[in-house]
Amino acid sequence: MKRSVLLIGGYSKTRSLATSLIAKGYAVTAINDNPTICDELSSIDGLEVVCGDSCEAGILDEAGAGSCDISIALSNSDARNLVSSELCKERFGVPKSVSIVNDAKKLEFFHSMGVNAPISVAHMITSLIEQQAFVDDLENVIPMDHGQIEVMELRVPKDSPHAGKRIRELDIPGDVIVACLLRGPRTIVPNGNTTVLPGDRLIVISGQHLESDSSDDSEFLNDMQDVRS
Amino acid sequence: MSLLGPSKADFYTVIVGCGRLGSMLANDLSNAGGEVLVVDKDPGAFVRLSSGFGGLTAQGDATNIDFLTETCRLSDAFAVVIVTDDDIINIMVAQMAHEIYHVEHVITRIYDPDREGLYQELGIETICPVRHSAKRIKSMLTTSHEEGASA
Repeated sequence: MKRSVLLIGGYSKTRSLATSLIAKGYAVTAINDNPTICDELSSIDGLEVVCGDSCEAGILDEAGAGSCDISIALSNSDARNLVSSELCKERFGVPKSVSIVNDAKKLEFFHSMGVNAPISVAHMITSLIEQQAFVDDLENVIPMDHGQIEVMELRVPKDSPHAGKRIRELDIPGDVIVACLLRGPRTIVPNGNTTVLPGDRLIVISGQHLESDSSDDSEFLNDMQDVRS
Repeated sequence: MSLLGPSKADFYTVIVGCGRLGSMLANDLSNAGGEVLVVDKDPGAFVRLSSGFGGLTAQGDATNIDFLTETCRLSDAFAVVIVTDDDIINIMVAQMAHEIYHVEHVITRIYDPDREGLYQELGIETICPVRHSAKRIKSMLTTSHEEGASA
């Protein structure tokens, strides 16, 4: 049984998400109150489109909210995003609700009103810009949990003195975990005894921001970073 | 709004939306001696207030947290009455008043009777003019029908 997703409002994000989700095999329905936008969305293969007010129970019902797994609110109006998400949850029992929050200060409020995943586009963009501007030695830093933890990918240089050592022999700081080791096409969940080889990519989770030029970084991490520059 | 600012003891009421209903309420409340702040996105809306209006006005977006916290001092409000012409905005502001500012009395006008039930579940007092008018009109019609029948 296909998982079903309801996309509420929006336009370019909706198009983009719809295309991506349909390709991944989801059953996707979009609701929009603008007939012109509805027409354009209808041209997306496989997308069900309902034209109407997403804050009306009747329209949500028509769009299949009752059997939907995830609702995603994408409009420019925080009020509409909130109310349609709440209706989906309270009236139709949709298990997971995701919503854009245009006013970033309302993120916590949306959370307390039951929206599972409120997303501030401004936050995401400024995070990305900060990373690109200031942390250019480390690749793929994904800030999670409001900047409390970071996930990054480090590569073991071919000529690294650390190659051939076991993870527990490396000088890795206490609040850093090597979560995953990628070797070619293989994904290995490492433990202390796993040997690190040249060319390996380590997915590392850290409880604090790792500066590329920090002097308290371990020798091991410094060696990894050198590859980037 | 600092030294002479409102406090809970004055039954400080914030009215969101200075349309016909909002301005009427503001005038009445102010005449009755209450501390009133009326807010509206459109500064032109305040012309509806009577010349004797003794309260305060503030122009701004009632869905903006900074505006509600700093300008409206919503945490100090005894009551907030939400009467913009947009149901959906009214609902969100009412929930913000409850959830973020813990205002004791939150009254919201909802135009669409279908939405009323859901929001009463959330503890927001709503008044639905459509329902009230329909009831009132029905009772007027019933009365005049009875009068007509007995004549």
